[in-house]
Amino acid sequence: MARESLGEFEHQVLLSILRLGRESYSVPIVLELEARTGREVAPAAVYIALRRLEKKGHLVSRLSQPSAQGGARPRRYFQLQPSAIECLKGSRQAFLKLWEGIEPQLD
Amino acid sequence: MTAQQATPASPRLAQRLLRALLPAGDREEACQELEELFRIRVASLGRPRARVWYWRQVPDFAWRSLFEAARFRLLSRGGEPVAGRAPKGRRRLMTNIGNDLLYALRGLQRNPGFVVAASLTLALGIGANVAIFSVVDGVLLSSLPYPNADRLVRIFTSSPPNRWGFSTVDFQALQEQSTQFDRMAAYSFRGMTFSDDDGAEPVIAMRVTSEFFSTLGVDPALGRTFALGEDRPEAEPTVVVSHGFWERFLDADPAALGKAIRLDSVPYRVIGVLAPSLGPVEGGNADLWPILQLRPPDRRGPFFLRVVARLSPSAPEEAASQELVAISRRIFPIWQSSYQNSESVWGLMPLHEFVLGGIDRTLYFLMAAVGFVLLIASANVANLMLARSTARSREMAVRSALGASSARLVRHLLSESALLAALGGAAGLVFGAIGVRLLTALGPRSLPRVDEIRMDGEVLAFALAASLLSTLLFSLAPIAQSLSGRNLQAMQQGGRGSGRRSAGQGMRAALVVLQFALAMPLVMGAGLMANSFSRLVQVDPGFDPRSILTLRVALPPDRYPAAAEVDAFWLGALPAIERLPGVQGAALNDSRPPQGVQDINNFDLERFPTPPGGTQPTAYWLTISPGYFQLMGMELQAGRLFDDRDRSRPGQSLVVDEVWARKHFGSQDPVGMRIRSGGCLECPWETVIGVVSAVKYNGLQEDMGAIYVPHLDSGYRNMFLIVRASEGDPARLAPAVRALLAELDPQVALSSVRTGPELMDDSTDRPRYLAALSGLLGALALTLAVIGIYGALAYFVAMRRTDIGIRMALGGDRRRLVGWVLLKGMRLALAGMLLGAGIAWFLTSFIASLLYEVTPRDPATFVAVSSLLAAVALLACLVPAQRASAVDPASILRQD
Repeated sequence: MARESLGEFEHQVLLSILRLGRESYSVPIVLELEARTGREVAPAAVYIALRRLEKKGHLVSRLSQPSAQGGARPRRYFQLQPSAIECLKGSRQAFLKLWEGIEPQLD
Repeated sequence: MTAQQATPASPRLAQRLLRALLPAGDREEACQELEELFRIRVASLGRPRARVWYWRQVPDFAWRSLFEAARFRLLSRGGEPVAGRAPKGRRRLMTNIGNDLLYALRGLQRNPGFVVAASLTLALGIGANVAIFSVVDGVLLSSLPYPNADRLVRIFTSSPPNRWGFSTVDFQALQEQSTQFDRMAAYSFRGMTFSDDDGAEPVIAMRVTSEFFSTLGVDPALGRTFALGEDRPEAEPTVVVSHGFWERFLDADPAALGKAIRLDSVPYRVIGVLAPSLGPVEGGNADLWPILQLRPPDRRGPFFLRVVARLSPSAPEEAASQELVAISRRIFPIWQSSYQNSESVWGLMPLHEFVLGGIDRTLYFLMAAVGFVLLIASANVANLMLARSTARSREMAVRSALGASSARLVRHLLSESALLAALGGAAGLVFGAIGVRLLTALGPRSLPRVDEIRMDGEVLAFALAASLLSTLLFSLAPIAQSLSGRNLQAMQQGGRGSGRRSAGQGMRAALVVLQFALAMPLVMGAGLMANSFSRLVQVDPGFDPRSILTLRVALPPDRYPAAAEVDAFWLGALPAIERLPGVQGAALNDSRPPQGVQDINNFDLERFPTPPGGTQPTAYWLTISPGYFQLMGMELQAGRLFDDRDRSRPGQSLVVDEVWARKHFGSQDPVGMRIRSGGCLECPWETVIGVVSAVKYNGLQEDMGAIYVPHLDSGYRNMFLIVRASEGDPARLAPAVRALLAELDPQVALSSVRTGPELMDDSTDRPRYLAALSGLLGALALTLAVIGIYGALAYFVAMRRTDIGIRMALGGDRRRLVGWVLLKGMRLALAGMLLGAGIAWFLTSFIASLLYEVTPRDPATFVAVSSLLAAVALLACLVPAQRASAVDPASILRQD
């Protein structure tokens, strides 16, 4: 394996973060994925994928401070890194090339 | 959303479980996120479904985080992922293996149902093996806990079919004349009474001669053991005590060494304390070991001593045996007047063999049985793997087409098997540990060396070996299938079921046949054991045990030195006990039925004298109080029972039982016949005055005939008191009886309180244990075999759906279809049973000695077991057959 590639699910998670922007922590990511794919998503799968992507250097995370009233507990927010953007661009390019000219065949 | 809905709590148990299963680093965040999602789910799904959802997340989270941790460890060095670098040499091999394992783990993760079924099946097989092996290892394989234990032997008097103990004459002659032994000791069990200022306590004493501990090689934790000569009658009595006794009665005070304690009212000086870690010393658990001082004998008997000896390093067992025979022949003429049996000579056997007491055969039987269970379990897993690999044949074919070598595919399959075996092995160890606890806790009291049974390194090594073996066994079939070149065909078929014979079908059939062939002898063994046990519990013990309470009563010798004092005590005590509310009657016997005979004695019949030098007949010798026969509900069949007439001529009247009468006099009336006990030529003749119905004294399986003598004038201080309750549970009489006896004399020691039903249970302990264990193993084997045949047939039906659909569409008869599937399954089951019957025919003869009144090839059991197996197999085949008949032809045709 010459270059580390993204798994399908990791790809989906990164896209959700891109879409959610600053509000990206695991709960909205799960809901976003479910809304977009129309399937139930395992929270554990998202949890693990986020940690794995962070280990690979595609994400950084920060813990939010609990509110002054002491209500909510700290949450871990994720942010995309340039390498993630590169990866996403690369896969998109590859897919677009693969799809080129074959779409009519599906109809 | 109402306020109530805004803060619903997730299932608390699931939450706790999740916390327990997750690594500490992930626990807080994961739980918090899941909690938040749960609240959203409650809003969208409603609380009950949200709770189900939450429960589903628990194993998912646990499994995935475990997988991730394993993946990270395998792929990283010091936390850095290695992907992207080319691994070299050994590292490459490790990485390859790591990758294979990861790939396998991922494959298994996708199919949790299969993983649970396969590893649980394996765990049952391995667990059963681990449990039984722990017992075999502790009891049979490990040597006795003494240095050079293989040199230790038991010496006995061999008078086939009996093995007797030694007498004082024998032991002293052996000590003087033998040359083949380094050391030897004689010992004898005795219930004794320990008394101090606080009162009297019954204790178990093993009286031993001076070289007992040095022969075994046991050193004390405190003080010393006996010195040579301490066993002479004129020496001061000394005693070595167990650690338990030292703590309980001597306050664990080292200063107790050198002080005297009172045993049966005689002062014994404490010279040593044994270590607490020391298990039961040879002969069983004793509280203390008083010195046994042998007095010069005036006759050959009685034969009450056990003898243990250590062979000299240079002495072969054979030479020692010959020497024993020679010495016993040499002393025979000297004592012929009191002992005439010239056929009985001395013999020896390894101490280990003696301690096992014939349990080895039982244990080997169980080991073989669990071995069979593991084979059946492996066959089941092989079948599951085959089905799975057929279903994945397309994946294999694609990998193969993309250039994966056969070796790589085999490695992959082996990796999956190894993971399954590891899971199964780990769960098997847990099952095994539970099994060991059950085996030792519910085990028979007669199982020797129970304290030495534990799961140690050897057991772990065995579990590992069993896991590896099963891995190999159940991977063989799928590997053979994947190498058979059918994969290409699978790729062409598109993985769909078709009419052609699918790969591995023959192998699956063979596995089902194998399972039934292995289950048959196991179920047969279980059937024979159950049959034998049911016959045993139906044996009439000769008395009604239901309302009986028994206890051992020991009178202290200083207060009851002779028969007169003993008689006086009981003449007062028995009527007082009978007057207690709820008591119907009370009596004494020195033995306790149905398994507690204390005295087996030889005798000579006046009418049929034993020829000079011949072996005299033997009988149970029972010393009883006059009310015993009535209390036990025994029937007088001839003559009369003991009465006042026998008081005037003590020791001259006997009552015998019907077994004794039939054995020695056939249909003749034995009343008036005379016997002389113990082979004694000068003793007076004793006359049979009556014949009573038989009661079992030496287990339900045996009866050699009983001779009853009156307790009056015997002077026996250790007796069993037997009390019959007028109604209800006899155990509730115990406190009143205890209180009464304590009131009569606080120095009287009571022990061994058992009710009749408990005694009956005790006597069938080992057969019950064996029947239950083999029944459990048989049921396990049968269940696994049934799952096997069900799985194979269900799979067959699933693969043939197209075929079946077309048949139905062409007007096939549903009933004929059901018949066709049933026949398919039953053919395999019957072939397996036929093969299994052959194996059983050969193997069951090995358990003949464990059976009671059932032959190992008992036709009724054979028929019953075969019918059971066939019926269960038929039921297992019926479900897939029904499913086949429910196939909708239209939907099949639409698919194609």
